Amino acid sequence: MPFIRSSQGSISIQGRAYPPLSSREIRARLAVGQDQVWLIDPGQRIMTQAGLMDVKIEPRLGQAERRIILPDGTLFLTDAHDTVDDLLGTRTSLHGFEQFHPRLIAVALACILGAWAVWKYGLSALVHMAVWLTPGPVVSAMDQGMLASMDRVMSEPSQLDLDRQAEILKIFDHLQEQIDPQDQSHDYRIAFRHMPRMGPNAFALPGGTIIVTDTLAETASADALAGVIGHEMGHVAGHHGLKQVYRSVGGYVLISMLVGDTGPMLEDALLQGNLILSLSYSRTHELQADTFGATLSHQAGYDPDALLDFFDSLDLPEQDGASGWLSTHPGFEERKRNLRLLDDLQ
Amino acid sequence: MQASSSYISKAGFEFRGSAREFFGIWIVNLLLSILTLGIYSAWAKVRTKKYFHQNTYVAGRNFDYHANGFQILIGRLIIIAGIVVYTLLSTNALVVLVMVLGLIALIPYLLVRSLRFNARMSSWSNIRFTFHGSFGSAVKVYYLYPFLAALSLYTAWPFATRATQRFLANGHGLGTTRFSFDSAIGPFYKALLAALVWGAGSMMILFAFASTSLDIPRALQALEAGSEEAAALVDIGLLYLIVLVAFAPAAIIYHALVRNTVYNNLTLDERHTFHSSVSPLKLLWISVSNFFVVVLTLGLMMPWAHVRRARYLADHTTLYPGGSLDDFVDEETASGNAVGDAYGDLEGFGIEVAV
Repeated sequence: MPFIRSSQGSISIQGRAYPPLSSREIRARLAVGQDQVWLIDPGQRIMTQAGLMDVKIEPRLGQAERRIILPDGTLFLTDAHDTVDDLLGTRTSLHGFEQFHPRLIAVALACILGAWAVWKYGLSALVHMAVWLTPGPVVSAMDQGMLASMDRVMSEPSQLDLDRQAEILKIFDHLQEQIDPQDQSHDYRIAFRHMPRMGPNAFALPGGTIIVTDTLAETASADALAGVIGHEMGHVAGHHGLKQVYRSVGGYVLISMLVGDTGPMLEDALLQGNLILSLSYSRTHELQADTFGATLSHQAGYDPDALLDFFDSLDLPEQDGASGWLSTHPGFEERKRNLRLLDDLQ
Repeated sequence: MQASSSYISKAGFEFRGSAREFFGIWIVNLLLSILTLGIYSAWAKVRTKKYFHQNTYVAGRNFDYHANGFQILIGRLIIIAGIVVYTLLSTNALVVLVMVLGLIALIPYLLVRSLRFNARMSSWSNIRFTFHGSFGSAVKVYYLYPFLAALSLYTAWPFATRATQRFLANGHGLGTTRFSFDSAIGPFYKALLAALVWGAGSMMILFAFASTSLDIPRALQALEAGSEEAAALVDIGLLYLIVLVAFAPAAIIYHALVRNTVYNNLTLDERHTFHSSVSPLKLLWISVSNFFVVVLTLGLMMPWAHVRRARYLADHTTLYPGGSLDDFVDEETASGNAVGDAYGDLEGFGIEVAV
């Protein structure tokens, strides 16, 4: 027998004890009988005793000292794990699993696979739920906030004459008439801004505000404008802006929930890195918005090919326009193929 | 038993866990969390905290953590329920405004609850910690002082930091015994200065080596729109580098120096004192090398990184007992496990008090 048998015929476990609500440390041993335990101090006096069933034994956690709590609140600590488990029958499968063993390689592989699945499917589900849960007024407030900060940093009031503005608003109205009446949740509106460094460009904010730069308004044909504005409306309808924000935040929340604390530098890197990773979804979003925009402008009676021509006009390397819409709307070769395909279908 | 009249005069903190052992616990936690769609992560959090508490020793006596996964899970469910209620109620801008104001008032309350919960769920040498900070002090420390510091263009930031540390340290107790902390403002300004030197120095070096000048509006705008233009990508990379090379290390240096100051001026029961000799640059090196090792191993070395950091911090922290460590007494209520505590720990509101 690996245990020390005392004169009373019980088995003793060496350790240290603390009386209830006290920090007084006492070298002590726990004598375990048939259905009774005794806590005995170095002077061989019984500190406390209890029925075996009334003793609370905490599950094992690595090599950390085992905690045994007696009914009166006395705490007994011991590192004689095997003796405790043999005597009191407290071996747990969780601890067995956690031990350093080749099996952990399989666990690690399962984790990597699981993490990939969470990233691919779990995050998308979470993002959709978050988009659905976001209150309309909050999204509108986001638009106002983003517009205000753009006005501070990079845009000036529009210098466009009112006639041209009215023409573009008319195109916008035609497009909006074609939008599925069931998708009236968005408050689409146009904002004209003079943004000299952005070239011919347009942006969609999550709540439905579409910013058109003066350069775009002046240079693009009505058909091309319908295509571009339709494309931006596609971003709004598909909640692309919100989805990208949530994807970057959601990735961070998921990681911190599953992995726990990641350490000081990694935390910063993850928060920023998720933002960059979330951009890989922008390509899919661009294709979706193109399809939406081309269909919409076709339905509204505009020529969807105009967007393709507009692409080509921007794609000329010697033109200033190359730093405009295309540079902030990536993946245009793929998108041109997609548009041509759409064209064939229509 | 008679309490011995002689006592040890110096007791270093020690961390007895090992990376190898924690790896098993961590990876099994992760797998179970994924398999249960995140529900087990509440129990995983408890198991991790228990591991680090139970393996940290001072004078041969260890810490412990007593919360159970169910309490953590309930805290998280309450947060989710709060978000859903917020969404369902926010039908117009006015209601949203009222609720946002309500939330601003709620945050200090939640912080105090969370600090109290975490203190009561932690123990050392069989005695639970306590937290006595008030809602009013939390409002001052987390809203008023940072606001005033911002008005001073952050030149008064060390005063805000000291107020926070006073709030945290003086609010804590071990059973019926209280901690106390106070310090002159000088060390806090030194910490800020060291952080500024790093931040400014690294940014100057970064800009000297960067081939293109950084165009922040362009980078931000490119980030928003997902540009693949090379110049914009360089800008994004440079922004990212500034955060990682300048800001994050400056924060680590600041916190390390503040930690030293707090421990070196902390007393327990006005007779036990502490000493922290953390080197900011060494801690920075540990954080940076941990970061690269964890990233290069797809996160698998994270347990090693945690253990390494915990061991360094423990090895540079010392207790100087001014009397017997056997005389601390716990309050009867502190060990109670009332249901009211269940929602004490709200995710994201935890402030780790460096052990």
